[in-house]
Amino acid sequence: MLRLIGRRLLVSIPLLFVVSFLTFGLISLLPGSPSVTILGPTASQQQYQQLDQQLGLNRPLWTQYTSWLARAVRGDFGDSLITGDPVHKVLTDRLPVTLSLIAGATLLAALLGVGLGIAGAVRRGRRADAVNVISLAGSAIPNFWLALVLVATFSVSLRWLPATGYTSLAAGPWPWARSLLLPWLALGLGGTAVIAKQTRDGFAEAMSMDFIRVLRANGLSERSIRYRHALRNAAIGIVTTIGMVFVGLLSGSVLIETVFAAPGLGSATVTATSEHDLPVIQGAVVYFTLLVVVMNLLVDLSYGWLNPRVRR
Amino acid sequence: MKQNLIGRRSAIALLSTVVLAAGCTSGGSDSTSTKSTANLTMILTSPPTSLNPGLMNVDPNNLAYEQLGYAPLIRVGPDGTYSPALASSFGYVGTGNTQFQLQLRPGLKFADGSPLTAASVAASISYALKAGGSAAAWLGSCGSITATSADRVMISCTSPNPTLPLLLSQNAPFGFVISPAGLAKPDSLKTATFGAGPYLLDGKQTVAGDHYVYLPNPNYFDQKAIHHQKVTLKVVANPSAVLSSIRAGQADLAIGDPSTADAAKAAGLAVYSAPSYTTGVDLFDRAGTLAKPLADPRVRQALNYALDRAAITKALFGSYGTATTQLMTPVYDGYDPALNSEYGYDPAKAKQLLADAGYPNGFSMQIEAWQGFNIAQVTQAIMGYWAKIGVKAVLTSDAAPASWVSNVLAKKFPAAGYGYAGLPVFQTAQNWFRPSANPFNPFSSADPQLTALLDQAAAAAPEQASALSIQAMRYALLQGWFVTTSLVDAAYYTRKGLTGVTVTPRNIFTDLTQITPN
Repeated sequence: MLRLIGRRLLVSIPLLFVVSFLTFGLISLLPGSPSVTILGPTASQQQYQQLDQQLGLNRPLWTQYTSWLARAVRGDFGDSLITGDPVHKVLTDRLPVTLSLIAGATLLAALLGVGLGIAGAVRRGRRADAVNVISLAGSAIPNFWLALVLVATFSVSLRWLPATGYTSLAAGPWPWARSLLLPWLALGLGGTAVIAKQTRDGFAEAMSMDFIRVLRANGLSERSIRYRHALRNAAIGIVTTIGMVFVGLLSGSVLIETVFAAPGLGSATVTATSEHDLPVIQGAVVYFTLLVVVMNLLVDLSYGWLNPRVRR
Repeated sequence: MKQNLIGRRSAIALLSTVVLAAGCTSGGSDSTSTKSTANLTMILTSPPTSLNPGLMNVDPNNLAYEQLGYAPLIRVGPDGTYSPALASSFGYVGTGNTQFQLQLRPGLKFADGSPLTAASVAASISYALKAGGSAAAWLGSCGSITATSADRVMISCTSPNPTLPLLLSQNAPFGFVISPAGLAKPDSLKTATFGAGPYLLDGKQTVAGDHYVYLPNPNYFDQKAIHHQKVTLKVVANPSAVLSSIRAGQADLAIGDPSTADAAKAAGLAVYSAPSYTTGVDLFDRAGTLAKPLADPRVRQALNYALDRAAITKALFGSYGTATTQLMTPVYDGYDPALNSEYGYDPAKAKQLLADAGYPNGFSMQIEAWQGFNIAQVTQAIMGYWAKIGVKAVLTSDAAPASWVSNVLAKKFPAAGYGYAGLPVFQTAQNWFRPSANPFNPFSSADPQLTALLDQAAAAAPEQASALSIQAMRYALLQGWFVTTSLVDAAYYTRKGLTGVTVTPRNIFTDLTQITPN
């Protein structure tokens, strides 16, 4: 197990290097500079150049990247070119928001998806069709549109939930959850369909296997067969899909954080990109990459828990 | 002139120079509280480009962040009149608009408790001049700032500058006096406030880029003007989310957007609006470097005659826009209603002018526009009319203003769509008509006759300045240096009952310190 963790972490090092290098290169190709953001559009060319020099942006690109990399390997991502705040502070402040959003949306998608998937596999007729339609609708509805509908209904009309913003968990579990309920729904329903389909297919396949017939012949209850044996057999595929959904929701969170004005990593990345704030962009990319690496690692570890043969 | 009336549509917040997005806010308000316990939450559309007044890009968003932490030397009111703030009296000395004197109130202190003296004012203005901010050019040749006594400051200019009261007000960076502690560590100005304003930024409750929390300054000279125990500026970029937030009761006021103004009005919010910026196309390749036909004034005039400004304005801005030919907004010298009758919609005349200039079949050129503030849409509408007289423009639109500025300054395009907020002729001339490369005049064009007219206007006493400014702007208009189509409103949304919000053509940046709880 430790070897697996170590190997995964080692693989992430070149991955982080490649991702950060590509990001730096792509952002550098964009026209514009943070000086324009800071000074606005009425400054003179000389003023832009002067500020570029102060910010160290007139150095060769390779020098800028190696300089960033030398600090980054020591855990110092530099300071935001716009706000002057340390990048690690900017991102660490925002990490809990994105984690809360993604984890909650993934949990919601998993609970609904697995439930609908099982229902679709064990039911027949109209009920099964209804489950299929519901799960397909979840994947067909754009999350930003759903977000707007949810806000219009539950925030503006009913005034039950806030339309924007994020409340820290430190303020209490209910205020925290209340600020995230709508983003969870908007983000999580899309993932529900994928998980439901995987669950339904995997569960149906497992239920058609010979060992299920043997278990029935042995007199086990249908409930025990379904939830202790068939579901466990289908679990690896489901967990893999949940992991993929988590990673997919990371990209979806960028839009949802913007719509709900939640101060997470996604909205920070959007703002930093429009402002050409390269240190923040680079730092955010590293954080996102690490989240993906950690999620994949957790999925791998879960294989061992679900299937003892993997541990051997 | 439209003025802060409930039910008006809103336009946008803009830069004091160019239009950039504004925002809105959300946050809880305690409308039942008394003065000492009320909170105020405002939604802005973007975080500050810099909290450092010396680097501030002047626009409504940024001004909101600065006005709370930094008191101005002079306060400009909704009607454009100037009144004392940190300075108890002020004014030009002699004639020619080259000497300006400020007399400070006695006993002033910065938020950190240190004394605010004439020396600190002189040091602060001198710093803002050298910090590299875009507004530095507006102070022009006024590089001599000296403390002539403990409470008196003299600003001396080598050439006339008639706009010093505005530049020392709450709507420009030079009036925001920075403490010696802040000046000693300029990097710290990016993350904290070092002023003498009614509030000071609370770093513990602030999350940069998301929300900024301000608490009362116990050393503010006018304690009765502190109306709230906490002011929160919340960043919400999406216009729909802005409207949802304020409708859901999460904010007291927000900077509006034309795309949501009708909905705000229908939802029962108070909508305050006033004309604030002009938009159209800047024909800045006046020497024909990239597009040879633009060197001929007749061609530039033809591009003006080709447009049905009323139709464009109505289609894109509805009741929040007014057709205009002028660069200036109505409240500043240089604006003349009579100039709007120039360049009436006349495609036949436009074609004739093109033929006279040697382009009977029209010509082609590249054009660039930023997508914000409907600038790209305005540009596309203009291009449609130009196509009818044979002028084919190919549009490149940029999602980010930084890309637009970069491309324009690199002289990749002979013309560009623009949005330009209301400023006095003196500043407008620096941006558009003086030979200094900036995004509105990247080719550093100048015209001796126009320069002479602008010089005369700058040195003139107020009673003569207006006529001279109009003369200069009329000359620029008839030379076809720009193609303006619309004068667009800026707007704010507020919850019902909030008082003290004023948005006027003279003062489109509502002064947050004047807002009172109810």
